[in-house]
Amino acid sequence: MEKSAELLKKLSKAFGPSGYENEVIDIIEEELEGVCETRRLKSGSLLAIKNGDGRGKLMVSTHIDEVGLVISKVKNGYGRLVPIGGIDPKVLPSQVVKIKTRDGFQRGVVGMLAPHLQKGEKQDVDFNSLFVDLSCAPAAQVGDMAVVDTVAECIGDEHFHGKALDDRASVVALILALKELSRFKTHADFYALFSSREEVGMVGAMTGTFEVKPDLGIAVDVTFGDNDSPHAPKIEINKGPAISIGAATHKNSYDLAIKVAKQYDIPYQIEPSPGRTGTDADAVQLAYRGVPVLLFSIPEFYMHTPVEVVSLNDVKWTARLLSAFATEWGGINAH
Amino acid sequence: MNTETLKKLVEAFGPSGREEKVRNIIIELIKDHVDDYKIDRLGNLIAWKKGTGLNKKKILFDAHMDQIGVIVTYKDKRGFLRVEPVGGITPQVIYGTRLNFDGVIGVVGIERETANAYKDNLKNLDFDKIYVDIAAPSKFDVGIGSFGVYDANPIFVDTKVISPALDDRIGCTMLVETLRSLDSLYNDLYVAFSVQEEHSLAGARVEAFDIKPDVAIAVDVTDSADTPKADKRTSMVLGKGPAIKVMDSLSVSNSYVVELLKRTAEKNNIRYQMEVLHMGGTDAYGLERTANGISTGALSIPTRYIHTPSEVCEWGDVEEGIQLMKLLIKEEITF
Repeated sequence: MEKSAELLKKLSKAFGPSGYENEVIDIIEEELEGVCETRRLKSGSLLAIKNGDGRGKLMVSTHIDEVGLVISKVKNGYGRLVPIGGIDPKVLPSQVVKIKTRDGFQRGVVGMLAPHLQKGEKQDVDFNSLFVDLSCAPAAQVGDMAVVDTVAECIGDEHFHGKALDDRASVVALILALKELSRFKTHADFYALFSSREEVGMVGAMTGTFEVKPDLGIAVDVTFGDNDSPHAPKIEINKGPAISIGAATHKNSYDLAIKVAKQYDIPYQIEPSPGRTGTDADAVQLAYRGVPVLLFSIPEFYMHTPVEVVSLNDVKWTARLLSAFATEWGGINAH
Repeated sequence: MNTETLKKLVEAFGPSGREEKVRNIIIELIKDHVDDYKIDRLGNLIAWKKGTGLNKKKILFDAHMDQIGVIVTYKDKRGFLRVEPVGGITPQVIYGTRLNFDGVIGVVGIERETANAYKDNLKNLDFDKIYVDIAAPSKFDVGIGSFGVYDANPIFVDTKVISPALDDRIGCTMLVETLRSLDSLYNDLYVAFSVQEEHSLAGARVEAFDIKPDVAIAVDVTDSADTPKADKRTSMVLGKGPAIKVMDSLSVSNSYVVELLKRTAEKNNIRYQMEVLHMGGTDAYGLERTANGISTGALSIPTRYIHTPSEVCEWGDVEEGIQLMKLLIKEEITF
């Protein structure tokens, strides 16, 4: 496996539901050692800084948390679950979950009766009908966090599947961009915010923006590569990052992003976002005194499930778009 | 049990945005026990008392002064009032109750033109079908823009308290009693009595901006699941100590603050329970996203029938909560 796939695998496997992202931060810190300065923030986010000539501050935010579960009640060896962020309960039956207990990680099973044993009418699965079997997790208690325990690997030539690619695929892109940028001089100071708690209200992005006070913010997240609604833009996987245009994103900076993509021969797609974007971009825009924002998105299949799928090419193209944009952006252009 | 403070506070009129009366009572109770206090531009009351510790930290405790209520939107020729909710108040719960419009009592009636209409209205009750009757409208100045709350008649039965507005006068009481019974401080103590939690969490969004506390803890009520057919996924009960919040639907508590609260309670043999609340939120949401971020947690008193005229909690949980708060103020905190 090549290096970026290795890194994505490590990050995808890492435990990091919203508010509990330390394992992800450890991996990023290690990866950026010797590349640039990093600093842990109070929100549980990590800030990496690559100084330029001081002509403005450009901040790129990718979130490091993932959707997860928390045990809300324990009775007779079974636990009840509450989701952290938007998890569809339908994806949970027949999954193994990894629970962070006071005695370290233990495994629980969201079991399902064999087809032979299922009686009566089929019911919709919701959180009120779900249990997690804690036979092998004796230390599990109310308040313990969990994520689905699943594999992360390449399938085919470009595709990669695993959990938490939302938004760790973007984290890989941002790390690759930082490594690239560290070899060049840039006009602007470049801040990489690996933000916590996006799935529960973008706390890391909002407070991180206040810390940095950037002149332009770029959020990098995943977007639907599988939305077949006739009203949705046609975004495809393996065709480059989607650059958002809409009310929230800053038009001049958007124009520059398109220009840069063309100039550097980076494949891209255009994604209309009429209102709020549902990403860190929303929080960055409204933090501090208000910050112009852009949104780049990596197309993804099966968001918020244990088998999210992205294209590794899209990850690399997103990294190139970020580093190229950061090289060209001179601060003054943003206003 | 000394419930004088609580009685004074639950009887005070204070819907979101109209907290003056509650604030004045609190000022009288605490002014001789703090270094100083201020009222900020939104109406939050903030008081402080400096500690003497060598490695002291700034701890902020928060409780909201406001309570849910209604606002008058229309007054007809005969003086009957139409109302809309201020915060989470439901028509099913207010029908048949007495409301207090800052000294003027109104009772809630329902439209019932025919027997069928009455049945339908009861089944599909909403604010369009109920009205408030203030008995002698010509004698009172209650009209569009007047606020109402549940009329309070707190009672104390054995070790339990039954009253409206325990949410969150119970938290206010805990802050007040903590201040009044402190003998020594290690850390710097800040207490914030916030406005408009029930409406928008507006007070908590700004109250800590100038303070920049190292730790913020919102003190509020939480659900209790020890009643017939109570929520399946909730574990909190009355009488087993205060609850340390792990998450609710608005925020995930800072994991270090959760550990700090647990550790302090365990070391001092104070009972506690873990809280995972899948419906509802507190001032913690506002605090954690202030400026560049505050490490925030929450301490909750399990309470039955929240947002009704008869909220029920256990006084022992309150006393243990106060003990825990005092210990945090007295001890050196390391992260």
